[in-house]
Amino acid sequence: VSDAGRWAHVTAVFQEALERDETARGAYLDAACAGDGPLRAEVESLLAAHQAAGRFAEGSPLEALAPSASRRWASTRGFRPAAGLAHTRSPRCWARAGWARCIAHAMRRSTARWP
Amino acid sequence: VLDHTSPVSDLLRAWGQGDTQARDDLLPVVYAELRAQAVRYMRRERRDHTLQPTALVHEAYVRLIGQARVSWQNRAHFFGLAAEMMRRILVDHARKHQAAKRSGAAMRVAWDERVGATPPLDCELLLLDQALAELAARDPRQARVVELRYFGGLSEQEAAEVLTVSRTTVTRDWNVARAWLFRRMTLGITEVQGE
Repeated sequence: VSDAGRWAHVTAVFQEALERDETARGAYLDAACAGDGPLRAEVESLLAAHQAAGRFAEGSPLEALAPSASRRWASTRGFRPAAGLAHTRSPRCWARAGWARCIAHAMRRSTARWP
Repeated sequence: VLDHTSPVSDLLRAWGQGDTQARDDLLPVVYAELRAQAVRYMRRERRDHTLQPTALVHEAYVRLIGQARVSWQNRAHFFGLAAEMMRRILVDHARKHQAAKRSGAAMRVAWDERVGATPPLDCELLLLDQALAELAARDPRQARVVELRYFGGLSEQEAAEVLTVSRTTVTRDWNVARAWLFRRMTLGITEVQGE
């Protein structure tokens, strides 16, 4: 399956799962992802991101320009540093260098870990 | 009968009829109009949390097209283009801001060395722009929905008109694109590779 075809499939299963309530979701995923562990993991990861996203990208992009936006963005969402961020000196590092820089740093690290 | 046209509505109409040169001619006009307004807003109301691109894009439409008669398809063309220009304006602005900050920030060298040689992205907006380019590589329409909704401030209905798809499709694209972008920006690449 091509990358685009794979992504279209992920998208479809994600959407179907999202439209079901929590109780029906597990059974749906059992059926839709039967024998395809990576598909299930990817869809569940996206569902978790959807849950955690809060009001991400729903405000004004003009606000996102403000230097304080990254910190506000993190704090309003109760953001907790992910694995790649654990070693950074938050919150002092956020205050000094800006939250987005820490994220960029973590992104580079995580890219290195998942080639 | 009054001739309800403006140079911009003429270009818009020509583009609607397949004249791609007309689109190229429109780009700088729309960019300049939106940018002038955006700069004015940003200077005056830096802390205004209600500042939305919707207002800028709709104002630009009124100023450039005025009372000219424009079909809804051409109107959709305009909003699609305006969203693209808004993204470019905001990204250009963020980059310039970042460059200015870096040139005057010698004291942060120690931090920069620890982080690595690549210039860090200081701004959520630049991270999003980059992530959006990655998303466009796998699904152009999903990325375009984010561009229209977030950068252009278009409603779901307006975005659906621009893309000539159903509103449900826009909602679905938006949901999955937002989840993917959020994950990309917070956790990096955690995607499970397909077989």
